[in-house]
Amino acid sequence: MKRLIALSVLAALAGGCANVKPWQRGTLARRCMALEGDPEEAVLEQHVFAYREGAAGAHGGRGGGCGCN
Amino acid sequence: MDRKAFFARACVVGLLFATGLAHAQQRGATKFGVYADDDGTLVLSPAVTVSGTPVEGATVGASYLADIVSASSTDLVSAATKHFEERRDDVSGNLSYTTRSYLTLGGAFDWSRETDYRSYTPSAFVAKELFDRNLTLSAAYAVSLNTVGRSGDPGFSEAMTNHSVTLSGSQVLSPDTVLGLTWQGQFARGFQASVYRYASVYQLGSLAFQTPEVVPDARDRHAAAVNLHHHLTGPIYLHGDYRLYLDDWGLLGHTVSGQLFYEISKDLFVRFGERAHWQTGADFYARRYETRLRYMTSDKELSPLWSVTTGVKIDYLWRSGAGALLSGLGINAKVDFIHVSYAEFEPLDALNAWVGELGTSVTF
Repeated sequence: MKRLIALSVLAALAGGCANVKPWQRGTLARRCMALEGDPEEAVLEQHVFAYREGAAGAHGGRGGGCGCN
Repeated sequence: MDRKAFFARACVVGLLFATGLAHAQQRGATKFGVYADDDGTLVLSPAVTVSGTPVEGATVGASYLADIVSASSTDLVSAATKHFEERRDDVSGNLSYTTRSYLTLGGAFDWSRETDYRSYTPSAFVAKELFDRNLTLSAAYAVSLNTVGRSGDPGFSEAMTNHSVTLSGSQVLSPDTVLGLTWQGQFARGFQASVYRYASVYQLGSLAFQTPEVVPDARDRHAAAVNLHHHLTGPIYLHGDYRLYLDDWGLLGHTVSGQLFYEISKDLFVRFGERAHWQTGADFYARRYETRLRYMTSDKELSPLWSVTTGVKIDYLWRSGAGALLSGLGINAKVDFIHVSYAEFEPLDALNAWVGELGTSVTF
């Protein structure tokens, strides 16, 4: 688990250096790439799992970087 | 009507009015969800959401969600309550403002009511996009103020407060890949047991007595998640997510999910999803209690369990050209199958559930 987190952080830092330009973000702006998907679906889904499982949380991250707004 | 309820309704009316004044990018959406399982629970969940952009950079929104529940599950039978039907109403509103330097400040509130429960949750968040909008960092705080009642017992009232802190970041790794990291801490204080649930004490192999469930009045919960979204090739996109969960009741959970998107056209995609969850039980959970303990529960969600979810969604969004009054029209449908297996819950070995959703959206 620690390795996975460390690799993710390293990957994020490496990506920051890559600096993707606005005109390269056509794919990132597509609906299939959205970090925050269908908001109504997310509310109902979290509701279902919160009642069926003891674990919860970490759904609240905000996406960005698509350059579409 | 108490002051909190009045305030919540006044905020919603205000937001709806503000949304009505908006001249650009107004969105309305509906969702109808159905949950049915083989343990006797049926939940119908209609929801409606509206949002708008009254001035450049600002967004206001409001939503209403109802849960209409009909249940006669194993939990209720063990609590000697054979069947119940009830409705939960949930109203929420939000507003946010993004500056030209991509700093976003926002706030929201959520108010919900059911026969024996009241909840009021104000929240606030801040987000900042950095490095040519390649990196997004955000922080959010919410406090949920809950009043727990007991149906048929107007004299019963207990309080529970939950503070929630969320820190997250998303990073564009390449023109085809986005990474997200999220940590959320939830710190609950107050009454957290079910007033309808009883723990059973067995002696010499037979039921000796039942006692009301008692759980600690403090619970600190932590969840950390990693999300990776990647455009694989042509019309195929992949999402992968992992979440680690732990709390000071001794519950440890791992959740892994993956989704494959197939983009049939610019307006239409199909999504196939798979999710797996595994958790240990709470320290004080026992399949059978042999004596009265300080904390005792028969909550199957606090027992060791694993679950798998398989689903498919189809989503169509038509968009018009610039300048048109109607700019978007969408419809989507989803079906999920959930299987939960309980290793140490005597009344029930497994549960199978179906979740169906039908959604529509319109954008002006």
